[in-house]
Amino acid sequence: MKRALVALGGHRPAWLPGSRLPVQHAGVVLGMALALAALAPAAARATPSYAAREGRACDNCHLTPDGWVNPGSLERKCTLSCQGCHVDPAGGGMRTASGRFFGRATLPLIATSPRPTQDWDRWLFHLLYRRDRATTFNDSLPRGPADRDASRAPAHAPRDLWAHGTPFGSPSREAPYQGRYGTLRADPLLQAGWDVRVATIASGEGGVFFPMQMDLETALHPVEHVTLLAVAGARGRSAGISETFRDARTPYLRQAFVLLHEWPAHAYLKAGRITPAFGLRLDDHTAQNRRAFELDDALPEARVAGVEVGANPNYPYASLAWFRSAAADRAPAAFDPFDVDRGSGGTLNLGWRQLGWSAGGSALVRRRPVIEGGDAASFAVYGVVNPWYYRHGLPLTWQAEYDRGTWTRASGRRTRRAAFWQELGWRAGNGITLLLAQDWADPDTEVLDDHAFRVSGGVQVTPVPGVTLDARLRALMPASGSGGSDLFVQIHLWN
Amino acid sequence: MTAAEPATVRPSRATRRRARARVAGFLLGTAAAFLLSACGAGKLPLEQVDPLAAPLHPTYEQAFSILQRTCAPCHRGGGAPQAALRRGIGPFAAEEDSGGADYATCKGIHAGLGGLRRTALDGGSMPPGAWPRFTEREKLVLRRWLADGACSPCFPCP
Repeated sequence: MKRALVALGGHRPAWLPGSRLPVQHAGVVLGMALALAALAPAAARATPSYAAREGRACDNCHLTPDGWVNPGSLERKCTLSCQGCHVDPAGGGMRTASGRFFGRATLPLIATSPRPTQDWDRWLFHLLYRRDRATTFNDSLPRGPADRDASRAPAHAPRDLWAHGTPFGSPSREAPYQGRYGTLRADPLLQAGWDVRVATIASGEGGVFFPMQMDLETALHPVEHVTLLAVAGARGRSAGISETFRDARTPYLRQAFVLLHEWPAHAYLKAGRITPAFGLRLDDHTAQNRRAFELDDALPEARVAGVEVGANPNYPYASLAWFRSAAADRAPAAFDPFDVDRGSGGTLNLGWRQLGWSAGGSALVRRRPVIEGGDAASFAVYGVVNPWYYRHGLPLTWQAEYDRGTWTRASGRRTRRAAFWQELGWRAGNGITLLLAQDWADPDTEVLDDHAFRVSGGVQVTPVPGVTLDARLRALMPASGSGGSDLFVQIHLWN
Repeated sequence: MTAAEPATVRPSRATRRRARARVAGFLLGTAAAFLLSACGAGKLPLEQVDPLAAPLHPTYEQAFSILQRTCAPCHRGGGAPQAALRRGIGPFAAEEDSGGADYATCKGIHAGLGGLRRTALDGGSMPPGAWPRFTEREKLVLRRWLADGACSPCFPCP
């Protein structure tokens, strides 16, 4: 084993002249590979892609169509990509009709839409058991339209408070069908949404209560293939609500871009203020593999002005972006999406998403003068496994990401950094997910004892659509100094 | 009409054996990644690896921006009662060993220099709980600023 690790560790990547992967880093990659390989299917299943955890059942994301015929893979509206549920193809924020349907039908403890039919038994190794009877499985469950003509039936007319109108012109072939998502408006002209998180963190020394995120989202879809998305938010400050609203960056445009989409293979182009897509999309902005790589999503500094193109045919996916950025420690102007300095960069994401697993890689390159943060090159390999897809008694989802790259210190000297993150989730029942996560980062591999190891465990509960409670016990073990633990609780209101 | 519930079919012994092997492999891989990722690299502190990674003589503004970002969110309004701390609802004042510091103001920072040195720089226990600690560069900036006499607009150096 040791010899194998050394052999792997001795490899000298071409992109990192003079570097050697430390043995333990090679071990992390090997561990990830082992975990992925252990759950690889005996035979590939030729099914369309859905979401990593919820894609196992069609009606998690839309009503089961009446008289369904599976279209060719390039024409399918179902995708495991973030854009299946979110307007932004990179994920997060305003939800599409499919994402909103999922939030009403599948995610909560008390669903306001009928429960999916293939989602009944949630026991773990036959030890912990739950039989889900939130909604009776019967033939009276509503059915969605099978095609565009059927979607025009009066029975499928929308009743939607937060989405209005229809884009001008005739609908494109890739636009979603009305009625497929219940009474939600499938392809609205104008839509409003929000993501508000209020959090408290308590440790032995005391605690803080503060607004973490206050985003208002608007999407205008004037004609088919064109959407304008704007997300205005407060810069959450742990000092409290008054400090948050007093902050010079409150409010600010977290995102503002034009999106050209609804093309075959889920191809898209977006341009404006964006966040570089890199690795797995994480909902924890404090994850060390994000902070150590200048990708803390809560910071205005993480935003860039750029163009991204991508496609998500079933099953491969790819995206490519070019951007200009402000200096690393300068927050760009709140409402000027093109407030940048001399820095520029690009991202590349490639991978394969299968119904029960996915694997991919990301590259992020920044070119900046040293005074603006200096050059940096970051690379990630990541994977997701959903054993639930293969075995009914394993409602688990495992995600992991390993990051490595170079960056420039203020002196102009280059160095390297590395990080790892993994999370195991158990969908214990409707609206209840238990989570166990670990992250680790070594922000400068030449510096002694600057790395830290963190574990957290907790529960996410979504009692009703639009409300999620998240409680985690977290413990930090830095290599130097004393460790600590705290209790982190957040209430997330979303639409 | 209510449809029949899907019947539970007990998988064959071979299927169960394969499933158990996969689960064992998965747990083994996860555990390996968990344990092996706890290690770090590097043999020397930042000051020796790259002395110019931080300014040799940091200004008050450079120190202030670190304290403002890392300490001031909680330690503000110096002299505020400890009750806020015990109540567990912030923002709260600094602990007694940091002299009731208010890291949002110049005078408050000077009142808390002792606590900064003890808890954040030497002890490494601040920020508390599982919050990320100071980076090595931040610590180097603060240490050098303190070594230079912690000059500031409210306590200018001679």
